[in-house]
Amino acid sequence: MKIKWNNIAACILSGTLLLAGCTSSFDDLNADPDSTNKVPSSMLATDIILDMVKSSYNWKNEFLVKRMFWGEQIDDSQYNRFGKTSFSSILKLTNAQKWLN
Amino acid sequence: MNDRTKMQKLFCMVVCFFCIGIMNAFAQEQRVTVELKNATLKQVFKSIEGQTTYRFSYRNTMIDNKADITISKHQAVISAVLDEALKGRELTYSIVSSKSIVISDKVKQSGSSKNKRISGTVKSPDGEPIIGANVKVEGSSIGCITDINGYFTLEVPENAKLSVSYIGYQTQNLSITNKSLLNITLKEDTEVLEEVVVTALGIKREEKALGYAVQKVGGDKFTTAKGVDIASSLTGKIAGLNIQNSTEFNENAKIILRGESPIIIIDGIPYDNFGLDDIAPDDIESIDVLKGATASALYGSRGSAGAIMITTKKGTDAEGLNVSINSNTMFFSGYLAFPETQSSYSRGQSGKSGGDYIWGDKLDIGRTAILYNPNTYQWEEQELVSKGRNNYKNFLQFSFVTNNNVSVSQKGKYGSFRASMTQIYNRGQYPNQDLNKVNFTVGGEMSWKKFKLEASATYNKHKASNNNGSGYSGSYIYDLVIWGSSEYDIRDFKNYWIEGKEDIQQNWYDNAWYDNPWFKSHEIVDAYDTDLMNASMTGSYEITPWLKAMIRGGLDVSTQRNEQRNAMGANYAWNKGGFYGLSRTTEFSLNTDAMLLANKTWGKFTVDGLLGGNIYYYKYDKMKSTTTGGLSTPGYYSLKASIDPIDSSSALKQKRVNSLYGKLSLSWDSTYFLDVTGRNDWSSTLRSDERSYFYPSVSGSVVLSEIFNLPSWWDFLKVRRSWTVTKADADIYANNNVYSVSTNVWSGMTSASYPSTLIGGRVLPKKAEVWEVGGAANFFKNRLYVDFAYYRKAESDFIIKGGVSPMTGYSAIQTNFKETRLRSGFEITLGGTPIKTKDFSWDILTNWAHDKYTYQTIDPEYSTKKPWVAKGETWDWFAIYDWERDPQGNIVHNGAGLPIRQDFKTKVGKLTPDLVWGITNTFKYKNITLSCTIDGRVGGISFSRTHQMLMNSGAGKDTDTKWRYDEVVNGKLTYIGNGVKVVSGSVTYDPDGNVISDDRVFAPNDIVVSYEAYTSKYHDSASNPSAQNVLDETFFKLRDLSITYDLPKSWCNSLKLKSASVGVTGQNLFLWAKDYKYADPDKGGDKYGYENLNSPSQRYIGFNIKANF
Repeated sequence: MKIKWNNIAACILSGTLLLAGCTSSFDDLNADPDSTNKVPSSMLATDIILDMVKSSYNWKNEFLVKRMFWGEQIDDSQYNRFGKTSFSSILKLTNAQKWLN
Repeated sequence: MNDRTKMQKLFCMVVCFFCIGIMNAFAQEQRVTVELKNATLKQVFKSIEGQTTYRFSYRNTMIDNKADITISKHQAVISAVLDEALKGRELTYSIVSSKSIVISDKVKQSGSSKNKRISGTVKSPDGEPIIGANVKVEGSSIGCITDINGYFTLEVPENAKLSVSYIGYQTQNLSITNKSLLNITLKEDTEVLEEVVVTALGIKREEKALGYAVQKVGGDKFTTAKGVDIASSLTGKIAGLNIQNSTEFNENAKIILRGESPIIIIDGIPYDNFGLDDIAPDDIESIDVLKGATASALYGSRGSAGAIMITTKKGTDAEGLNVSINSNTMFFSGYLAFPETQSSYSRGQSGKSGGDYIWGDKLDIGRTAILYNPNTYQWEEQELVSKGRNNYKNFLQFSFVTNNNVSVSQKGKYGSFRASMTQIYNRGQYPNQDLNKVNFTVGGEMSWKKFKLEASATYNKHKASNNNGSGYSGSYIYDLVIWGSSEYDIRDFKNYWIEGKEDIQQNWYDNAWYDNPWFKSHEIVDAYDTDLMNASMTGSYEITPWLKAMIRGGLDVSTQRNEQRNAMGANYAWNKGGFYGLSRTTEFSLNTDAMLLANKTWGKFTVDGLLGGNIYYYKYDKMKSTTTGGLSTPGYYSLKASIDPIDSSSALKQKRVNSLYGKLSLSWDSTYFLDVTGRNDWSSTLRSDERSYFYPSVSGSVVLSEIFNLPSWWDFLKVRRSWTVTKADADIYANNNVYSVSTNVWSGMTSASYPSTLIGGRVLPKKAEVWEVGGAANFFKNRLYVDFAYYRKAESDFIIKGGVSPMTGYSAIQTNFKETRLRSGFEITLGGTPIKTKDFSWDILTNWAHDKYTYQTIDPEYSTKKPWVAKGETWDWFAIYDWERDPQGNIVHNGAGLPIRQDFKTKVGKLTPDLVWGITNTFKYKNITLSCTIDGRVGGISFSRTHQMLMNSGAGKDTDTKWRYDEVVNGKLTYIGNGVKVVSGSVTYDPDGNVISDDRVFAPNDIVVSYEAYTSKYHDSASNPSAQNVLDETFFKLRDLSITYDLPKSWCNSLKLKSASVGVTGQNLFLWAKDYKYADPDKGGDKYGYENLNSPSQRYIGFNIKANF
């Protein structure tokens, strides 16, 4: 009886230790099945085209909007009040680069 | 306490029995006639019992079944019969009373002929009689207990040694020589009652052996005033634990331990999906809070913020069956904080009705306006009267919370079993807010020889009818208080559909921003239905007396169904054309541990070791589908009702961590203790070459009171110190460099874009180094105790997305932050029993904690570039665009008389409190117990949107001023902003806001402006915090109060109960706040420091009934 229990305990423990050291499946586990690193260029084009006509600069420049004017607030740029901006639009070129490739 | 009284009762009964046994009763002997041949002893007894009132008591093992007795006695005294019957047997008898005869072994009774009677009194050092002290003759079963005067009387053999004992006092041994009257004074026990706490992996240890701070709360603290969530009952009871209780429906309290979120561990297992609110208060045996990363070092990265260890009940202490019922119901009884509005002015702007603000015309002076009529659905000219002055209160409903529990437990020789069921119902303060919770728990333990098994399983069901309606935009306060006014009576809008346009158009005066609140509560719904299960099993086997093997497995599964829908015409919801969305989320976590535990003692030296491994697996699986483009059929809430193609998405996240850990504890003479632990993790969320990380800890404790001779009033003193380095892995998929794909972005087309963050570089796990020192001391025979802890935690290698110039083609790069952040603080627990007499006792527990967060090193590349981001400065800062001020701090006004806002940010304070404190008092007088907790926080700021927007919109009570009256009624502008104006000169700043040149000359502001214009500018919009609405969160609360009356034993007996009590309970009873007037600072701001229109804070008072069968 005693020996049997010893064996069981030893088996469980060594089994766990072995399993704990085993990390072969880890890369598969950490790959998001809901995303991809390969897309057709047409899908990249969708964003590039939309970016050009939608909200690239300022919401008033939307080509695709049907409205004529907006009455919520005074538009600063109408009165030459321009704030700081950034070069973030350049990021869109990354998509374009991937698209060309 | 409970178990102690039970043990006492048991002991009393046993002792009483023995007392009776040795008392000689000189009853008149009755005569019997016995004619038996070859009879057994039992037959003799039966025959006597049949003729007299006597009953025999004996142990079955003493009486043999030999049929060898032949007696023939006629009308003889019983003693003659028994003398004859017991002849040749090693048995003797004593006639105890007229009812009972005790048969006992002759050996033990030898010398009983030389008994003598002694008596005496037992007293405490201060002369109070001790009731129920045990007086026992050593080496025998003779004994009794003292009566109400401390008096006892006992028949003892000559030269016997007497032992007198009572809980809390030292046992006294004395020999009786020729004294027959004894006066015994017991000394109080100065030995510290060894408190046993639950530490990492569920291992129970003596508190004094630990080198880190652990604080325990008994389960009885949670079973009287029972709300929805036990977090409220835990508030103020642990030093260093800051609990921010929510005022919202179905929103859990925020639990912060030393500034971070600790893990919740139930019976040693860290479940991912179980929070404090998923555990029924009646199932809790105790809660042990492991305060630092060292304490929870054996849990690896998940324990890096400390742990809340919950031990559940597995059975009762006393053997046998126990059924208990505990019911608590509390009702709404007033508000502690309520957003108050004016009822003098209508909706509108510039003193005229019409428009979205509440800066309209004066009410109740006979003026008229075009108003919406909820009965005709027309806009009609009506008189402006303040018929809706109590709109918000009229909309709120009477809320209550009821929490009922029934538990059945049974304990036997080989183990115990317990089943418990809890039902909680909460009716929220807004219509259509019902929360139903059912918790069913079974658990038990068994032991057989060297094998022990413990198992438990819990099922939880949570159903919340509508979580919608809190926060800033779209909340009830937003619609009804901030942007609502009193010329409309909200009760007229109870029929929230326009007749004939049911399910299409709501009956309401606005069609852009705000919704009819009755419509909102029933037609804009965010409902949750959650099933939560866990199960665990722990088996251990003693291989040798010093070596034990243990396996433990635990898993939990949560399945949540979330239904979101809004009717057509909803202004602030998912889709104005109607919406239906359904999501299902399943979360699963699994923890398996296997360990070998060893414990060996050589003289004064004890070694305690542990070696084990853990496998942790987590899975998150979500699917969500929603309608798009509105609903095809009014009132048809289904995915099939979608006008455009259904939007569907899914997410799957998985993670596994394998670990090996070990612990070595050494102790010498119960005085010196040293613990060393190590844990190595392999995490799936890190790149294969950085996957493995090690996590060491060292802690030690020295009991100084064992080494030095302390004054007699100083009972105990220990010091402790600990150190650890923790590591934390990255988020799931954080290192995946993938395209983000969106479907149906334009005319059914799918798009993809490359991440703007550069991912894939070398990223190390986040690191933290923690050390802690502390000490504990007890004084005045443990009537006063104190515990102190100071900790320091330096966090580094944060995994961040560091901003880079977009010219690189990326906006950020995933990397390790070189900034090091320091957390430091101290905790003090001070408590004791100032008064303890026979009938009255007073226990007090106070907790005090202070935290400080500072930068230790700054990352030259990625740290925020602000003047106040520097070494030694606090990193929990809050910065706003402050007003332009003169050197004295007065607000500078422009030429139009309005305050000028600076165009750079200024740090105005820090978010975390300077002090978190709590005081719990328990008073006991005979059967009555009064317990109350007062707790609070000092310091810490937040931007109150409630305060700012009440002023900005014109709805707030404080906008009802004489300037407003002059402006609206008399058409006169009279308001002058408090501050200064610039007469000449100007100021220039660098981008950080440092003054470069300043030659301004100031004069007091005297420019008359419109009160409305000034107020809406001074209390700017919701996302633009103004300095005067950044409030100090300092407050204190009477958190809970309960008065319990334990029914007298005699009543319980007549009702066939073991014990019972009734009580009055209350929660959230009183609030004092320094700055906050219209919202509860207990919930306070969110993690960004924004208070988002907290719902009214409610007081709850109710009753509690407990019974044990």
